[in-house]
Amino acid sequence: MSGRGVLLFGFRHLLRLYPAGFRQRFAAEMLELAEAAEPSEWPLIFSDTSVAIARSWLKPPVASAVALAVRSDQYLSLGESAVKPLKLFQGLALATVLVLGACYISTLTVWHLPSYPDDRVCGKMPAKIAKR
Amino acid sequence: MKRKGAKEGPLTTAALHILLALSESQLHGYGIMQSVKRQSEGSYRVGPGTLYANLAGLLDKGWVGETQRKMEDGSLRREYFLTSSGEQMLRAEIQRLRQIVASARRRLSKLDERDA
Repeated sequence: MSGRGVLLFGFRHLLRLYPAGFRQRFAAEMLELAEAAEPSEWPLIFSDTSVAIARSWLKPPVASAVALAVRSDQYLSLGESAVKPLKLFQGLALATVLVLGACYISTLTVWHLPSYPDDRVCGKMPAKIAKR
Repeated sequence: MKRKGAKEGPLTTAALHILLALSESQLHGYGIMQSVKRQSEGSYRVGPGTLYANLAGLLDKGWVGETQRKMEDGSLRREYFLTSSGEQMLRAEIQRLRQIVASARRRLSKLDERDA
């Protein structure tokens, strides 16, 4: 396989990282563009596409109510949010279970948290250190 | 009175260059890349990731349209063109930039007078 073939092979696999909708719409065309590109353009093609892939996953879909609200700096009420109250409740329940679980585990001396010689006076300095 | 396109805010550099490239003629992806490089005299280059992310947004907004063109070998190639709303947006953006440049010139000339 030639150097160009290797680059195209790598680029084809890089395009697989796009969200499915975008990939189906533009990946074939992007590959054609890469095939037509000059060797000097390959660093730009790879770096630009990698950054764009990361952005495409970080950016919410334009059509979503949340995205529209963020764009126009509006406060979004619960009723307008794309996140349903049931999902919020599930999240709250999961967070509660996790916090209670962590509290319970911390009581079981599993983590071996550091303790002072005299637990009753947390702020009291050991005598050796106080003499210095 | 608000100008047309004002509610959309300023265009990104990439979107502006893409609309400018398409104002000349309808182009395919690589053609847009080359046109952007040419019109900016090499100072701005757009990669495929930025190009297609912007094209997706511009298509969704209706500022750019797409069409299929039959090539000599019988294959179909997708090309993009500037729509009338895209042209309005481009004109509004150029007007906004003109105002900025005019304001900047006035201020800089005052600085030149002060320094002279």
